[in-house]
Amino acid sequence: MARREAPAAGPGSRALIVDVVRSATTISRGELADMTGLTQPSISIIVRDLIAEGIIHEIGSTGSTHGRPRKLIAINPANRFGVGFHLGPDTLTCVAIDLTGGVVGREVVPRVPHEVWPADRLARRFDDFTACLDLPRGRIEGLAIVAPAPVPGQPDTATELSLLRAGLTERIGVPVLVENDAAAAALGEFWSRRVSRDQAFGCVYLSTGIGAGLVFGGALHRGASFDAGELGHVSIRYDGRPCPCGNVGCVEQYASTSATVRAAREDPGLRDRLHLDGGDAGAYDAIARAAVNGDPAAYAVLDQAAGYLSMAVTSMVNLLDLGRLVLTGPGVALAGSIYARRLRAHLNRTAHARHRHSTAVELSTQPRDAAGIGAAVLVVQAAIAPGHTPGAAG
Amino acid sequence: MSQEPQRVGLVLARASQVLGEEPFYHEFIEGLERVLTPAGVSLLVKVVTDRAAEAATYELWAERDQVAGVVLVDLSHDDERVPLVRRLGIPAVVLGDPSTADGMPTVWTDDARFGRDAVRFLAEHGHTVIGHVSGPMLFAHTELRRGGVEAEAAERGLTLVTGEGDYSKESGRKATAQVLSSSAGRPSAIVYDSDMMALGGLETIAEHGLRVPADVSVIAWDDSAQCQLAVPALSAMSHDVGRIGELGADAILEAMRDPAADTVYEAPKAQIVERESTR
Repeated sequence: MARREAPAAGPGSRALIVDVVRSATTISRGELADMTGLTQPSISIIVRDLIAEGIIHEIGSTGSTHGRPRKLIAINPANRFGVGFHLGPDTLTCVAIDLTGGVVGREVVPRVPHEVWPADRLARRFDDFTACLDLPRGRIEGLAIVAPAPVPGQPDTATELSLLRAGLTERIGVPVLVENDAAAAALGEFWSRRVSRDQAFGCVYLSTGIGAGLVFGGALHRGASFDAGELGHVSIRYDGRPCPCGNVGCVEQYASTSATVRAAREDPGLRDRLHLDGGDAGAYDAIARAAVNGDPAAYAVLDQAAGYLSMAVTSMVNLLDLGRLVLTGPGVALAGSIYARRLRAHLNRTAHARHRHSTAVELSTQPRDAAGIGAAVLVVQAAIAPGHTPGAAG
Repeated sequence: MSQEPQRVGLVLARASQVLGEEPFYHEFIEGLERVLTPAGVSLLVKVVTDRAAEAATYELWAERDQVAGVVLVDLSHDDERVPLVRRLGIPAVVLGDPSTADGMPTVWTDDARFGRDAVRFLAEHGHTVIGHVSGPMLFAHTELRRGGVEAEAAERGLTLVTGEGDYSKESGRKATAQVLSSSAGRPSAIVYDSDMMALGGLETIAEHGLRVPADVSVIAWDDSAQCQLAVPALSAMSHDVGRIGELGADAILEAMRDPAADTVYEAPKAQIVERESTR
């Protein structure tokens, strides 16, 4: 079969090969040539280097129509690691992953709300965490720190963290990246679900706020200032509830976990029955659990939130013509099925491209840790498939 | 500056990919943290590939004084981890049956009773040949649950066919194929010890040209969002795993305060949530 004219192997070829091997799970060199358009000799050289560095390994052979068995290659998971820190409202979640995105360790430590730790304290946390997991420093590719995107006019954690990067890198001796949590979660799902780089992929992160992350051509879409994907501030009502961002009717005011807890507490029966007067996180989980176990009032509250969210997500899908969507974040940990079902039905009815293709809606398997895992994936991608992460160069 | 907070360790011996698929541990960990985080204690989870690596982790943590307590899960009978952590002087609690804990504080999940409940539910729906796809029989909780399933089936004169998996979806597929081709008869209902194995089972049942629930009813163990989204939506033995985690946190905090602690905390009862996969 005639093949397209093969491009010369360039600096991006190595990243392309790693990314195709990642999404294929296992693949032969011949299939790599077909899928990347690179020549067999270029592929042989790059794969040889990747094997020497321990990023890829050979995992056996498969029969071939030409008699000679083809060797299969795959990402070598447990040889190197990425570390991610996720700043939650009152916690710091630390995650370590292998090269395929599998979690090898995690730790959640208490944190004073809104407190940004100085570089030496973050460095001690990093040292302590990796020491407890017994991860050799020479095999850690870096650290990424993720936090919610700042509300306009409010203290900006991301910028403060960016200022710490140089000092922190110096102290811990590995590269440090900073990103927003929803964007990182999207990259994490993209990487560990082995989503192909050919897909227009999006991820909705449901928490006390609502964010989205978008991955096109294997690269996270950042926008002009790392602020892309502010799905929570897509307005669903021109005369709706005011939002601290300055707009009105932002979907975050209707469908975030905080909005859902507020709505449930307005129902006195639900409030008493589910003991919703404690912390918001526990109250939300109580509502979610009741809803999936058949409590009609709890279900109605969540289903309504899911309906609001579907309006905004449909706008995002239409704007970007997404082919695949994953729901993640703590808000979908227990009751993700309610959101996924509602969103599937809504998109089937309303997505602009629905007659050309369906938009797959899936649920994250680790929604509570998605941002921390995504942070660690950011590091892994920057290390073994560089060129997809403009932020890594800075 | 304040000293680093105290830390509780939890080691899970399984492939990191399997951890990613197990909602049980995500919710258990979430529950532990609901109590530990406000108490200023952090929870460290380490995923290792086997029991030897798990034991080595406890040795290292003790030598370096890195944890103030550990939570032990998936115990076998005469589990060597119990004397190990005792010898190392690490306060510990057990998630499982008190018989495996040798007097340590325990969060007791009554797996034998839950196994009986699942079989009783199916018997009352008229099923007479029942399949049980369990987790690894090495674990005491698996053995106890299987014991409950067997006892209830025997008392009711039901035929039981069994398979064993490792909680992964793939193992659920394999064990289901085995159970469906049993010489003892094809089951009209199968109970799975995890949600992922049940999801794998759904695929295998369809590949055999059988319908759920018209030909085979399916019950998953541990409810999850993936169970609820399955087509048909899976009926599940649901327990409040987050609450089990909270009890685990109470137990370990007690063990850290009092070396003589030996409380047995009873986990909330599991209940069947009926959806579309049973009849």
